[in-house]
Amino acid sequence: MRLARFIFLAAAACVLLGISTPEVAMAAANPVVTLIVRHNPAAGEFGTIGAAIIQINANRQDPLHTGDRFIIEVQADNGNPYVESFSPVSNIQIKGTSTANTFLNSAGTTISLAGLHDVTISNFTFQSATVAISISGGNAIDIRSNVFHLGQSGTAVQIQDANTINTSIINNTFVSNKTAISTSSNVVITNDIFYGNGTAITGSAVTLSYSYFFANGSNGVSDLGLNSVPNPQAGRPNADPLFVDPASDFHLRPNSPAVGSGNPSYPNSFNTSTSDMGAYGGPFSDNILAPIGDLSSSLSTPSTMALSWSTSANPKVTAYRVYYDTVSRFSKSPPSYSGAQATEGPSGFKVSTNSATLSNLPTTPPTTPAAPQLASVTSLNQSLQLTWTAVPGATGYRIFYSTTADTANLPANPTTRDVAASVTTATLTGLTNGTPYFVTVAALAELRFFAAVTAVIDGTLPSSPGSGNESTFSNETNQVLAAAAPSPQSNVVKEAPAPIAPVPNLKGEGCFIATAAFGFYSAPQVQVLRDFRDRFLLTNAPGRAFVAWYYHYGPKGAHFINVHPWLKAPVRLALLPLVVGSFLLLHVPLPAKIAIMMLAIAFSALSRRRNARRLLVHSGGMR
Amino acid sequence: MKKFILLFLILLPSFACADDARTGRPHWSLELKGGAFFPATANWSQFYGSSYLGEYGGSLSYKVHRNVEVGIEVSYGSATGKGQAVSSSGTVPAGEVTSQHAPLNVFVLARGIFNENQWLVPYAGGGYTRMFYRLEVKDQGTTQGSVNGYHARGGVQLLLDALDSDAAKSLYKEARIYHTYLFVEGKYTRAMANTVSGDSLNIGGTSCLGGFLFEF
Repeated sequence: MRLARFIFLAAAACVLLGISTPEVAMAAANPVVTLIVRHNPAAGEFGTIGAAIIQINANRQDPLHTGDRFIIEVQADNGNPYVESFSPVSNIQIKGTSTANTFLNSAGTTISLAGLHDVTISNFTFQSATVAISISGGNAIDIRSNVFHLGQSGTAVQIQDANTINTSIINNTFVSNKTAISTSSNVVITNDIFYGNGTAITGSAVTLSYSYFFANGSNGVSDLGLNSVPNPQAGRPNADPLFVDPASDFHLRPNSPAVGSGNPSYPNSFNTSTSDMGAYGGPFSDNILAPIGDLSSSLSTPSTMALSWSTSANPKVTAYRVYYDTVSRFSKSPPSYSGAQATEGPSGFKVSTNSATLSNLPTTPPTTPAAPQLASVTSLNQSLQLTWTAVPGATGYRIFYSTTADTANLPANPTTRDVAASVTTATLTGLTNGTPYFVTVAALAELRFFAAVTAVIDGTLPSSPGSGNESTFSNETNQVLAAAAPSPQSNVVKEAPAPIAPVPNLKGEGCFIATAAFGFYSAPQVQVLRDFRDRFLLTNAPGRAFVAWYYHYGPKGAHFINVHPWLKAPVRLALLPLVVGSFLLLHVPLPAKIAIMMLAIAFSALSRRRNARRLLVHSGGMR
Repeated sequence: MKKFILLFLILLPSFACADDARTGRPHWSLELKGGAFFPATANWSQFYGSSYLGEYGGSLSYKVHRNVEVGIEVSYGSATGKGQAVSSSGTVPAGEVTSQHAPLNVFVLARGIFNENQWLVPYAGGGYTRMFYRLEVKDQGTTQGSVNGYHARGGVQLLLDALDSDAAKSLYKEARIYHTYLFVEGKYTRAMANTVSGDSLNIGGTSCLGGFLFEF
């Protein structure tokens, strides 16, 4: 009777505290209380982890609850990360509901643990941060089953204080970080995968075992520890850990060497007789099944689509569900399939092997769509940017372009480019500036089937991708069953690519060749030639015509000199008389000019006379 | 803005009234200034997102007379925005363009100063401008050049020496700086440049500037 009364009072206290989903360890002195965090929180839930921590601090002001242990459960929201930085409190576990789908990001340090004890961080994917988890001092910090994928400027876990004790980093996957673990104190590292990091571990005195190192810039430590990879002598060669997708999905493929080779002290949650390395193995691994990553398809008959994939490594998987539709799941929100045409059943039918067929699919071509309207063509540097109107029923668009037009004024012998139905703009690149192009767009309509599969634990339960019973969708595959003729081509637009003009679009005033030859625009020789142009060329029609001609061809000559630097010296030499002549014309007073001219004429005459005399003497000698 | 406040605080001790111990008069002026430049180019804000850009500069002048100075001034401004592309539907902003200008001015300035301790000094002047410009279209190329022009400017200078006469005195003793002024001025620059299409346009504009003037 007393026990029942105690239970009633304890439960009533939790309700009064306003805490959702109380998980009260009734018999224990310090109960465990779970707080739910999700985007769009319901009553009693929290929108951010920081808000939940504030609530915990408030609760602990009550002397009766000072020692309570709290769990903050962050609800997975695929594609929608929690963006925040926070500092937890002691005696707490912060966990995501699904490692692969609970994203935690920030611009600086995401989680700061300073002088705390008994803190567990688990089941998150950290995508962006300067430092994902920073630990300074404290005791019993546990980092479990997280993926750290910060990019090459982020540090995943940073332990700054040599007095930090009993830190464990177990069953995490570190991919493409600048530094995976940077530590100033001893830390237990086991069952972790380090893949493609700049440096895997910096710091000494780490207790390292059963960890997987592959393609890191530097492992950072010389001794990788007992049963780590690579260790060829122990039968653990250097090999790719075989993620489902090394760019984004770090579940292990069934044939991964990291499967079943982890520390037996940390068995998998989904199969306690095996231990996997990485975030999707070990006791904290979530129950979301790894998605199938290698679905492929082909047309075995014109109306039959054959699918195949690898068998799931998870022994709990007993079946697979096959989903299909005539549109991609990526064009729907939330992603889904709703096909019902195949003989095997509507989308989501179940098979027990790693292959399936979709038979008796329709092969009637869809109706030819209407022609789109090419709304605008913008001239860019060596490219054209097109925008057209969307056409109902189009499954894609085909762009036609050519430098010539046929008798119907459409692009003749056109180059074509196909784009998806989801876009109504495209940029044609690699074109020639100044050359007009004839451009049109046509709408395409194809009967295309898209398919995906999931792995299922209990096949008797209803379809529910991404649940505890069923994995998320696999990669998507598709086949074209029938295609209608393209729509008529749109209106023709004739446009020539052109460089983007600055505002204001001023004329360059450099002497291109001289600038290239003398190296810089403000060289005195270049300035002399510019001044000569301004004073003696731009002041008369023939001079202006020469300048216009030069401005057209000069840049080409300058470019040639720039790519052949050895030409600079001879060009400078060739320009010297021009420079000297221009200088004299510009800066010497008129009497001096006359004197110089007379001197030149006299020198020339003298030279001719001397040559004539030499010839005369020479011819006399011959005589 | 923070830089100006910092500069003001650093220079605060020098804002002191000159005393009779100072002999002669200053012969040189040094200005450090900054503010906004409003380009005369039409549609500037459509392509650069703002009707003005920052302009920073300085000048050094010689006092040929207590009321007349000649000197040189240089300033610099830069803005990044979009260029213009021709479209079948008209001209549209496109690409990334950086516009830089640096006017070099040779000027004559008249100052209405009739007493060494006059606390408010109006001034006006103008002169020749050589406007250097540089337009860079990202991944495409650069156009640069310079054109002749003229400018006119005017403003008021506020004598700061009275704020801390002891500091002003020591500044004179240590650096021979006679006076320190805070000034604001307006400046109009006109420099016509040829465009690719054969037109010419004013690439100058109007500046609103402020700064410090040191006489030594």
